Amino acid sequence: LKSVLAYSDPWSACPGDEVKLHVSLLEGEIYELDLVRVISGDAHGLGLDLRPIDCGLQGAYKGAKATTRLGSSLLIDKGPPLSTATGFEFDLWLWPTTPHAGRQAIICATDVEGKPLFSLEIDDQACLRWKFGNESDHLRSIQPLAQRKWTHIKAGFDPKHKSVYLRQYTKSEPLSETAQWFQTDIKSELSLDVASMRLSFAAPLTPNDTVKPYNGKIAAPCLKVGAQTLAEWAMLGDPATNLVVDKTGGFDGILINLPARAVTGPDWEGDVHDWRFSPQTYNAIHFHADDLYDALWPVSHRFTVPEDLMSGYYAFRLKAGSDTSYSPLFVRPRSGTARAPLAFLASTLTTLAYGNYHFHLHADINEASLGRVGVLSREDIHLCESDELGLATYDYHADGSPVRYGSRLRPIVNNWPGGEVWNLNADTHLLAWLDKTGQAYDLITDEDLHAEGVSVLAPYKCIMVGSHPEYWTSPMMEGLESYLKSGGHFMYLGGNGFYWRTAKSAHWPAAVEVRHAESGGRYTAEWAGHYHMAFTGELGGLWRRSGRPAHALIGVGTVGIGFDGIGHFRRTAASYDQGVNWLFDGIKGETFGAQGLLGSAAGSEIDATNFALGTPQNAIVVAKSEGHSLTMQPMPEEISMPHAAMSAHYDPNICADITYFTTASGGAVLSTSSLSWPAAVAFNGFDNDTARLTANALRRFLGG
Amino acid sequence: MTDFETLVANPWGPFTPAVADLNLRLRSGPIKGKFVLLALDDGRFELGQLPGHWPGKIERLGITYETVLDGERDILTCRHNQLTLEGRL
Repeated sequence: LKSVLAYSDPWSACPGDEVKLHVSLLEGEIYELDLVRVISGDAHGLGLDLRPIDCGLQGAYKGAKATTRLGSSLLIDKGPPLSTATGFEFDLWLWPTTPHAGRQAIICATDVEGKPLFSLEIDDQACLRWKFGNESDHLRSIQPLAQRKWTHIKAGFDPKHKSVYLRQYTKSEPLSETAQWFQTDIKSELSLDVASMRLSFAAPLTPNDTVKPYNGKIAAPCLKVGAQTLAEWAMLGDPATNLVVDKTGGFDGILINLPARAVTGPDWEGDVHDWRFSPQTYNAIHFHADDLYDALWPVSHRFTVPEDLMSGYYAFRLKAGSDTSYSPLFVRPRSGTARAPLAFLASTLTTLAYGNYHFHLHADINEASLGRVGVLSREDIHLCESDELGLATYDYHADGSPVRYGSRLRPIVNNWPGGEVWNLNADTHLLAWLDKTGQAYDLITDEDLHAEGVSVLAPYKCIMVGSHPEYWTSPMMEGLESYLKSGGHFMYLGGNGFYWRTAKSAHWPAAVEVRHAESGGRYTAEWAGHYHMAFTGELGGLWRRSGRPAHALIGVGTVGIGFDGIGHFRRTAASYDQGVNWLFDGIKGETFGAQGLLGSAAGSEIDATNFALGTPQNAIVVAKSEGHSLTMQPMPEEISMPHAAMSAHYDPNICADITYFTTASGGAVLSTSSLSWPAAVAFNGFDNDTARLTANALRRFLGG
Repeated sequence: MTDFETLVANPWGPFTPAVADLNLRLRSGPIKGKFVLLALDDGRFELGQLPGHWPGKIERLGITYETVLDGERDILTCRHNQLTLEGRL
């Protein structure tokens, strides 16, 4: 397993900005730290090229293990008053997803000094326990909770009869017998009288090994005294925020570790699927015992980005024993300035969506999809054997619900230097090529584009994106569109780009939200009623299904997926036209790109034109891929009915289209339409036709 | 050569349709107990089996290979023997 872990915050910084580094040392007492510029992160194909930066950070440091508290919850720090003299009742709905997974906290309350008052929890028999003071004083429900069924709970103290009670009612299934209330109560000498209390829903107030955080939804919780409602928490509220407003008493709460909002409640019947138009049926929050937004480790180092540090991709490198870990730092120029005519746009939102993914360790399809046996790194093994680093939007929670958020306030261990050649690590093939050719560039990130829009793109003659710009927000799409409308040049050197509509929130700035709704090549499938994102209300899922396909922006959209690296490109007749034949200067054959560091230049995930979906009428396909195997299959949105001859082996429309078009404002776009393209650029020491075509386009786009 | 011998000679293709069919049969199946290769610090690879649930321990089987291809061939051979014994090939 890993010996040292770290995360940096923020990922993107300008000279003069401070970056915090949080380190946990799992073995030993000392770790080594330095900052490296990442030229190549591919340890096997191209070879690692990491250049140490002399910035005063290098050294050996004493470290300690940091603890991470997993699980989301709702915390009300200053809760309402409570007295047994007047009695009280908690009224709420539960939709437990793992009621048989042992003791889980539903409500915990202490006085302001931390003395336990009461708690409502699920016990190891899936029954509710309504507990007061110490462990032995409790009331247990008669009926176990039913998994994934709404149960209405009333838990209170009756001052008239001096008894504590627990009532529960599980909504019936349409064809089952009529549901009924179950009630249990006992006489109690309970005596409480507090002016304020600390309340937590879904997790204990203090972590303990006995009672775990809750898996499931909680809806419409309120606290009543007789006929009076003391507190009524709006579980939907503004779901982009971390605030849960008390509609009655002002006892507002905050959410910990980003549980899912904009989820269906007990009254949802499938009539309305957008929470904005039926908020009363979305009055629930789905908590998970494995949610993690912020690991909250102590700050180990504060690093100020030097004024003279070139824009680019850097990484904090930590070594302990035989283990090495990295955490990224993307140094960008100050807003509105540029130090080079070219900017490389790092796909950091895609990296966040994939952060710590391990579906390949749990999904039956893992090996058939890859076409080869799984080879697990130290990082993969750590992710398989430990749950402390949380999940990715490519995984399911332990309760079977899809993960909807990725966060960078925790160590992300995959896709950094030395790891899998995927996402940003695959993009280093292009960074290495730019370095080799002496081409100056600035580096900007998705988060910069999302926050500042077209102004971060505007200073550049050309913007380049790498292998896999899959997750884009509306502000990012609009920023790129504005840039292209103002005459910008764009090189899309990847595949499966601009695919999933993605959201961010200023209240959870380190997170990305994804809802893999309805269609698309996806490893997690969103649940019915949950297609609209909490952060923005937008329909989640494919940009294509939102009526804004990538084709209109960059000429192509995803059509196929297959990882065996088999195929090549063939020039089209149109490529010999004088308007585009300059792309092939120095390229002699009809075919090219059969080889690369990930196999063919046309592979992994591939895109094609579709004029019906908005590919510009003047777009020219200069080369198409062919020779793919049975492994290259169409994306689900490309087929309406499965059949035996769907693969690219049979269907020539499942191919990568290298596509070029000019814009009315004097700009141009080149889309090479294959995730494996950058790895092919790096093949044979960058001496190949894939690199030549890329260089021809870049030279033209920069005005050379 | 049989389809299996052809596959083992070149486990990453390209394949004829018949070999592709055999390849997919050998690579399909439940995740629990599926063989994987664990990258070791010295550049070799150790045979392991996935737990099929998360979090869970990967079973290390103590068999090592010099290259991924060596491991790949051994794993394919194990699966071929197993499916043949079970009458599924």
